[in-house]
Amino acid sequence: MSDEKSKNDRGPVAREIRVGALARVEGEGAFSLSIRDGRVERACLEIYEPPRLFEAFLRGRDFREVPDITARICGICPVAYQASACHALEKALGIFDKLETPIRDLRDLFYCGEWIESHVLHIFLLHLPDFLGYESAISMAQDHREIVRRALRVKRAGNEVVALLGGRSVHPVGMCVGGFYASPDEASADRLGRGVEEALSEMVDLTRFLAAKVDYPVLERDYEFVALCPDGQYPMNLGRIKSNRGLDVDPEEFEDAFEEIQVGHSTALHARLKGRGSYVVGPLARLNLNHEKLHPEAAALLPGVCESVKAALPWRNSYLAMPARALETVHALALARDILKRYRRVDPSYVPVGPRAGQGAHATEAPRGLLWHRYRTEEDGSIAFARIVPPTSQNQAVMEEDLAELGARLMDLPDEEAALKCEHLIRNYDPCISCSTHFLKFRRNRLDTDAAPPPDPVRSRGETP
Amino acid sequence: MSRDGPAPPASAPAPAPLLVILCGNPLAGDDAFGSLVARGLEARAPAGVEWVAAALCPAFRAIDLLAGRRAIRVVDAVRWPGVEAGRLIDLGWFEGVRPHLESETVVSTHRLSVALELDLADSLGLLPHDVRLLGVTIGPAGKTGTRPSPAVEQAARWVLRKIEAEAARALSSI
Repeated sequence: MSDEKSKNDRGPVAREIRVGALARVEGEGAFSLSIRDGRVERACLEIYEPPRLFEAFLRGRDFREVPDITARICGICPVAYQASACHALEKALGIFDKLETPIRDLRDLFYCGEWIESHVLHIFLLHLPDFLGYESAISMAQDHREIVRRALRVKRAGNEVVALLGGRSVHPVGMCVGGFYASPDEASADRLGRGVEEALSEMVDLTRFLAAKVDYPVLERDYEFVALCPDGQYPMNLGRIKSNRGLDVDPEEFEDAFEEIQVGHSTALHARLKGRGSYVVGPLARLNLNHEKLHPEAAALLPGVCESVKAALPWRNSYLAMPARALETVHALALARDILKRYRRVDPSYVPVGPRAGQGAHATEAPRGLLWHRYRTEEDGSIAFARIVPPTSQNQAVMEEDLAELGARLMDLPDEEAALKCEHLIRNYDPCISCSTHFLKFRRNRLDTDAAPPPDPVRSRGETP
Repeated sequence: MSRDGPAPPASAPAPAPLLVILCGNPLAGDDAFGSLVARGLEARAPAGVEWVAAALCPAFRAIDLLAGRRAIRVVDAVRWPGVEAGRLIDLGWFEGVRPHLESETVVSTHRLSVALELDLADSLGLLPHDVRLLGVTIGPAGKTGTRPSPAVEQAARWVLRKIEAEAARALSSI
């Protein structure tokens, strides 16, 4: 709201603005681009929502409470939080290897529901208007009514999958450490399976539309892509953490390979690969590293999509995250349909588990990318330590690098037009800071030639449990 | 009935003709208006009405509930500059004089405001003609934990009666 003036040896420099008062809505962020002599000097994605302290207030809680508490971190990917928490705690409590295929299938089905609703919402109601030149989904819907109606039908299928297993589609409560509190009856699964089949058909058409009818800007960079890479299946609940540059670690070893740092302009921690720097998580990373494991119905679309978007895999253009999301939605619908088709009621629907002292870490693939949890439990089953690394924090650094790259190409545009293009770029990552279409407050600072860049204190995250 | 569960069976009866979307925070004094009406609907369960709490409705979910409705009612407490607190409101949703609701322009993966959801439904041709705002004007939202004022409780009873009458009328027109 107010101008902050800083000083260096050369005197006062008008260069920085604080926008703290706008942090009242969950997940608001800002973006600034500093330009000196026609060169981008600094790009900052500022997240200034106050820290939510979930890791701290999980301490002392009974392990059974953790999945439902962590689910409240996010309104659109609660299943991911529950899944990462449950798997990590199952490792800590010694039952991880006891979960058998029927329960793992239900977990995949649950996750499919979340991918479907999250991806479709982002593609068709938040991101596609950018590509088609509309200010919002509402104005886009006036010209593309059938596309939006079909997308909403697909999204509804995702909501219903989540509701079937979670009891409700928002903040579901069905998953527990060891499995699920209850499993659905076969008739409900069969009925839902038919709806999912119809949604799959719709999504195949919509994916072809996105590939053929949308012009994708090109901003190619040499990213390090990081995703789970399980054997024989597209990543969701299981797998080692791998990258296109040779990273290959078990989720238990995450802290050996990754670190989080605090930067002065964001209350969300930045993650980076130790000794290597930024990396990308999310649909683009998953697809690039696992495309051969897509469900056959999604894999069948892939050659045509690559041809339409004029890019062979691996895709190094972050704008192609949108068709990647679409392919993943087809994958999730087809997988959900298959699981529902062969479903037989799971009884008991969980592996009994009791308290013990232990430690476990696990990662799953939230819609936006890798979501890693680690817990240490006491003898009585209470949580002694919790650590959570969400996907958006992992993508922050690379988003800033993308913005710097794009900013260099926008020098001649008016600020308003440049801002729209920057917002569009950030939405490629579907950042989960309640990414409203107007969540960014754009600043482009043209610095005096002699001005020093603003300082940005950086410190490592405290590691002491 | 209130709903947020799995899909109804294919043979499910036609949806209730009147959908009521309730906005309110039960912990925030007069802003609990929609929650008060919800409590009344739970108790009376009038025929012909389905209701949904906006706060428990994920983004774009209300659109799923619109099919087959004859009428929509949005129930909320509103702050309306220049209008004294306690005024009952019954306005057509698209009438120019309708006061804005709280966070009317919010859109994100987490949340879409009721107003934008109805705008989108209108763009998609999914909205019935009969959409109205039923409400009461209030002053600043109360402190967390405070009770609604008697005026707001009275207004909630007025809205309940109105909903029951409108549901009966909608049922009789089928």
